[in-house]
Amino acid sequence: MAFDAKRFTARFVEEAREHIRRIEEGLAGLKTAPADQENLNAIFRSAHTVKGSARMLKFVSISQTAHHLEDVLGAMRDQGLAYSPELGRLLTRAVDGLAALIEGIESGADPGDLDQVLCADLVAALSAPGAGPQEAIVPAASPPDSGLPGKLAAASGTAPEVGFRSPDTVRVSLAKLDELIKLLGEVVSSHARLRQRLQDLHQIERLRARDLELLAAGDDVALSGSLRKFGRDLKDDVLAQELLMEELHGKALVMRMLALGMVFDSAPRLVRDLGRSLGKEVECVVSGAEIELDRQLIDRLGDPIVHLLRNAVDHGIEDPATRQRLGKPGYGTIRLTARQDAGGVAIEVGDDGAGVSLEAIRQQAVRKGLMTADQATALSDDQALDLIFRPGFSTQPIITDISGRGVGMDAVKRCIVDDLQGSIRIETEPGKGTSFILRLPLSLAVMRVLLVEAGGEILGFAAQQVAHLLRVPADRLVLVGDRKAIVLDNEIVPVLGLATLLSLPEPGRRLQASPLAGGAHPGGGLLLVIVQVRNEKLALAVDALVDEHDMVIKPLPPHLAGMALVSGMVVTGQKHLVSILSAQALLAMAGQARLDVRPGGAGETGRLSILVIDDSWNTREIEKDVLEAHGYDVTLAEDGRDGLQKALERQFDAVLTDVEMPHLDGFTLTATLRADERYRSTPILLITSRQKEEDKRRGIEVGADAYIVKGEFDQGSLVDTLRALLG
Amino acid sequence: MRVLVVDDDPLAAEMTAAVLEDAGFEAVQAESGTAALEVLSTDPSLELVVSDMNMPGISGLQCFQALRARGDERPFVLLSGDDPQALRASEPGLDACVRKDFDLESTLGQAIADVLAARRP
Amino acid sequence: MRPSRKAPAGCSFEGWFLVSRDIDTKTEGSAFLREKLKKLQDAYLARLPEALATLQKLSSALAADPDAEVVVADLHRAFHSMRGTAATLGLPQISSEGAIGTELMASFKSLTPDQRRQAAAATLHELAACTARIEAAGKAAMQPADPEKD
Repeated sequence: MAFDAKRFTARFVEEAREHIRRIEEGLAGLKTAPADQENLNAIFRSAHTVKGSARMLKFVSISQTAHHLEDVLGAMRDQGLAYSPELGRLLTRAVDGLAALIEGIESGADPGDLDQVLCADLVAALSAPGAGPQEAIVPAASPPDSGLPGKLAAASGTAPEVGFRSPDTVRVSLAKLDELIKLLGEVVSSHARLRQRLQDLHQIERLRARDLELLAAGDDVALSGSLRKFGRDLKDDVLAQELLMEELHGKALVMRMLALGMVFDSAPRLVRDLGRSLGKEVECVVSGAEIELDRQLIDRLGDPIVHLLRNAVDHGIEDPATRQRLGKPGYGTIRLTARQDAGGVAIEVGDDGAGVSLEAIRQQAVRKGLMTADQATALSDDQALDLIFRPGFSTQPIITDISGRGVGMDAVKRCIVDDLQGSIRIETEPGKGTSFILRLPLSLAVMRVLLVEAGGEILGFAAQQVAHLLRVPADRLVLVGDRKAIVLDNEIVPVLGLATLLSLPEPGRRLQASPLAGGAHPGGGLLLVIVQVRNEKLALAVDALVDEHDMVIKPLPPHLAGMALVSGMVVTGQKHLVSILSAQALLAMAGQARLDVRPGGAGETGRLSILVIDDSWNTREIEKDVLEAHGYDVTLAEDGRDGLQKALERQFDAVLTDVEMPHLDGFTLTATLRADERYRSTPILLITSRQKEEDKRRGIEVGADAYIVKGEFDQGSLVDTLRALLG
Repeated sequence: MRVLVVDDDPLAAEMTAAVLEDAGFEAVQAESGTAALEVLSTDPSLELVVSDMNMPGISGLQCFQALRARGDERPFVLLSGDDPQALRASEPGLDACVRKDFDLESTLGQAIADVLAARRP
Repeated sequence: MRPSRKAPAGCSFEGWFLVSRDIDTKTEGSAFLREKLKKLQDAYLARLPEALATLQKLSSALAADPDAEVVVADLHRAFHSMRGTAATLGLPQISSEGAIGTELMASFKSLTPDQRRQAAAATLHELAACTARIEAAGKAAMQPADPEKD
């Protein structure tokens, strides 16, 4: 028979994947509504279709597996085989097996062998009709100790070979295509009008030649009239053309948008497979799969997300015995969530596992020779967490095939931050779990760019790195130590002139005396761009906001790619090249500038030790600077619990704490310290963002010595109060 | 077994203590969260805490958080006039939440029995 | 079997008093506890006029400055603890009035300064009524129990 199966294989895989997805959805639905006939029908039909297509293409193992699956589903539908969690698990196993076979075709031409154990189990489930299906299914549903779905284990040796794939083709709805064609029609007619303008111009030229003598006499009415009209028409046409192009661009981009489901849908199976291969039961809960992203992003998002999921299964989720000992459910849960977030998308991979041990990270950093023990101890928790993105850094004691080889997390960060212009953040709580939060733009092709002017230069910021734009009166700034800062939402953010930071020459007309080069706006007050990278914020004073636009950001040419400060270029309407500044680099420069201000380590002896507790990175760093500048020895803690632990480890001479913090607030912390003999009379200062009588009273009730409002630092009250209390 | 009763209202504390004593516990009273933290740091013979939620200074919940933060894992039962379900949901680590009610005798007794049973290895 | 004392959320407290009379019929529990309860009840009722005076003083302070955080917090706490303590002591009517006062202060607390000034008169009126009902409930509870009981 002249039937070329190859031509149909790709199509089959694509369709079969779709059916697998539907079956998985359906099975999930059965959990909550086991008797939903319609759902059962739909699953049955999908299994049936896969069986039929596979048989046509002679994928025997696939058609047989689908056949057994179909039989069981049929028994459920027609013969009253009752749904039970055990049966559900068996069905899930069958779908996973089926999916593995289908992926096998994609990678090699051969789907691989039939999983005999699985088929036998499916048959066994069938032979237990009516009365006691549950009992009969229990032994069948727990596979032999090898635990691995046969094909997966055989194919890849040790760890299951899993990953996400998006198809090479996109299905576009006819309606979208029609719109596009209609728009193109308009572009054609718009083009015709431009052609007309060209003719007009010829006409004007002829007019000019003929009227040259008249011109000499000073009569150019006809000519200038036609010129004016020509100019007007051309302007209209160009404008119309621009609108069209914009719409066309937008429509074309939307066509390239794909739902995150492309990446997310296979996650539950991937996680289950990985879990099984490690002897863990792990469930993956997906939400937000309907959110659409540019396919360029989707394509490159697969690897990082697979890595994060692997990481969560391997490092995050504890083994069942440990979990049970901790009073957690034996199976782990991984949440893969996407949500719209400020013009972009936030994707979160969160597990309910052990959390990241900061202690282990610090020790690992020392073991790897990245730093001395002292340096490691001095790292803030955020800085310590950041270490896991270093190449070659792994804290897993045992290297496994799934992860722990220390390749990957750095690649994840590189992909998300450098390639996809996004950001990545970690939240972890010992015993409760870890979340990786990725923020991504909707599309790579165009990005929201903010153009500003500082020191006579036009500079750009990628919008997702800008947290706020503010115009504030100059007196809103507070002086913290000798540096300017602004209090925003319970946080102290340092303020620097962008031009000063970049050492741009200041235009002569500006006040040289101003400590913030630029930023003093004629309209009164300062114009501040607040950039944010993870938890760090920095306010940059600029001279003017120039524009905000969706623009195509071009990467730097290879020979310039090493420049940390500039993350890319955009071309403005005036054909000017504008540098897009990297917020990371600016923050690093600002941090450097701060270090330079710090006094040397002179006078180590007799320095009083202060514990500073604040959940805002900026605030505690700034308080640290101020206090260090006044000769105090400062230790930082990032929330009440951390603060309490540090305070109980060693005796401090004074404690400065924020009021509103997660886990343990400032009042509770104060009360707890007061209950400890060592801290009965140690000065404790509450630092808060707003003046509230009730809070002040509670401060007194719990035994605090002072209650300082953040904005009042400039009156020197912090250091003065501390000095007075320390005597 | 010695139990610490924390309540800023002496009558309410007396009542809770009476219920506990009637159930065979020895009740010790503390009049604030801070006082409770102090007593608990020095008296290891107190094996369970029954605390009111709403108090001046630190609340019962904050007292609980402080204990856990300093590594004190003694069972903690919170009494409140508010919906105990909601409180429990906001702080799942609490061993039990009991509504301040005339049923205290049975509800608190049951809650303590459950807590002790759950803690038994 | 004694009727349930738990009112469904959001229901009115009218008719509550009838139900509350059954407190003395509570038969489970030891004699020790019943005796202790009686003593604490008496102590609570004896102390009630003092507590009411405090409520009145706070209410006047609130009238003078509807924005006084500390006063608002104190009133809220006073009603809240009344609700809890009275409930445990088997004085459900006082407890339910305490709940009404707590609600009043909780919603007042959530207002902006401008809204507070507008709402002050109405809230104070409700507070006065609530305090009066507590006083009446306290007096009623102090009456000796019905002869048919005990």
